[in-house]
Amino acid sequence: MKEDKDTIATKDFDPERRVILKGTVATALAIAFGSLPRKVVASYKAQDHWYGFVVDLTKCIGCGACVRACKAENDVPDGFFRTWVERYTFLKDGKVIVDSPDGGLNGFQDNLNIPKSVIAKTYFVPKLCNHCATAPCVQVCPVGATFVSQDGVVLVDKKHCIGCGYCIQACPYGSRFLSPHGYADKCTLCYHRIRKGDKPACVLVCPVGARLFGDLKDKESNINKVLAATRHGVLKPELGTTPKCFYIGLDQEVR
Amino acid sequence: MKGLANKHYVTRIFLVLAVLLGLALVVRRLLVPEGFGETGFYRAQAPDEEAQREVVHQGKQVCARCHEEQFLMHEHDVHRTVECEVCHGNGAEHVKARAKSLPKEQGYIFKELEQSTCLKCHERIYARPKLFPTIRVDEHYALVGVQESAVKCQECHSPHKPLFLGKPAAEARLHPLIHQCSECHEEKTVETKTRPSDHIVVFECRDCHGVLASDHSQRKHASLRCTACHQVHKESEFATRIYKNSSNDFCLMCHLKKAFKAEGKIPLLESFEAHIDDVSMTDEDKGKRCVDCHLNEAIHDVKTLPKVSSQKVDK
Repeated sequence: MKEDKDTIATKDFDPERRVILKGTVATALAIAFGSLPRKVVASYKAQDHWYGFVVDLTKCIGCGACVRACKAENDVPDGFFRTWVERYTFLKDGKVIVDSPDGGLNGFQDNLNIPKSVIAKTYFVPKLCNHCATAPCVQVCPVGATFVSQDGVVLVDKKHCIGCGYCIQACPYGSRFLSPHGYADKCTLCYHRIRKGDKPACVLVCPVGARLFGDLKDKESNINKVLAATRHGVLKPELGTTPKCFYIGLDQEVR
Repeated sequence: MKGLANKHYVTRIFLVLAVLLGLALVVRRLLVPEGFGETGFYRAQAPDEEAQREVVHQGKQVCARCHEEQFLMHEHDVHRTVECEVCHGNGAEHVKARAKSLPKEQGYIFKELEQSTCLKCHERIYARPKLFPTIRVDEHYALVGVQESAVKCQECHSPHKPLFLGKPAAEARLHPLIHQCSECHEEKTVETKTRPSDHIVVFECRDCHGVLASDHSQRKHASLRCTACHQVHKESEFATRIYKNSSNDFCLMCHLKKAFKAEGKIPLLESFEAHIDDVSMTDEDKGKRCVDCHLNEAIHDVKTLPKVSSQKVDK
């Protein structure tokens, strides 16, 4: 936000308003409370959870809010993505065109210059780490720096990673990258948020509810209800990676 | 006994092995980090370390603690699913500045929204779901007579209260899912009519509401699609809810005079109050809505409405 200094808001810091706010103890308390850093849930038992993710392709509008939120939340370096959005365009002659300008960071434009009469169907596909239960990236790590945590999130131990890049080659979904800081980096399902009881940033900001996060072990969770009620699939099921990121409205051409 | 003469060789081998083993243990101790292997082939405390990282996106509940007014307005509108931070940027520094742990200047939050901010979601892109409201700026501005292409969306549409679906879902009628030909086809093709089997479910509003639709086509608003006023919200794979927008604010979104609107394109009012004075209404009439006088003449004749659509619900 720093480069947007010219177009910043000033109303929230209107001095008169501040005086009014200061006057009420309740508001002051609310401000103090609101600014407290959220705490990791102390009584958390990792074994009791098994997290999954649902992407509803019929809802995604390709606005890129998830990509921008992920960048900010996780300080993802320029040119790298923990999550990104692709646009699949299926032509009537069977050809499939996939594009993802800047990972969908600034949204999409109707700029493919393909006449609508030759397009059979087209939709957006948000991508992220599939958090495979049998993750190939975990199998190849020579030092045990990447692992499936007890609650089902594929994480990277930044302190322990030697940056060899084997995991980046092993991931069939292209979800990993070598961070300029010297370790392999990837989507953590916003582990620092979910352990505090928050949603991952991309799920939080999705304006149309195309992204859902939840606990697969909890029978009453939103994600289990959605999966029970809708037809869904996973990416590249033939690889046996047992992804826990489920897609609603998926075509087999989406890989 | 001869073998025992070279006993020291055996001892030496075992000594060397013991030293190597000891060295290996020391090296292993130095290389393998603490906690490794306790819960799997990784450092057991690594997940907890990752969990400690600071949250950046605050969520609208945190925003609501100070900006209650905007929050409540926003919660009752179609934009309620859009988090504050989608348009305003993340609130991490803003919140810190409030708690005075950061200089105030750093806590400013992005507020002047550009046209492009709205268009990230609402620009018409073929890949977008067909029921999602999208526009092409040139077409939209031509329709309402906006002359300058750089006019910001919020000159007419308040982002916190864009009017559509401003009502509880219970007041909107459930309706089967409709798809209109124009949602997919720019021009009507012969195929649409002759090969409906190629399509999922294609209905035009007029298929069921024929009398109403043909009456509408005779009126001044004929160029507007039914869904311009009757917002369709998809509830499930098969059903939608139809929201009827007939508040004065809704009509005035197009019909209010603004500096950037062309004269003569559509009738423009200085204000609703001025209009009431112009037509010299009685005090009793002042609570009336635009549609109470203009529905029949400009939109569709009330006599052609199906019986269920009594105007009672709309307030």
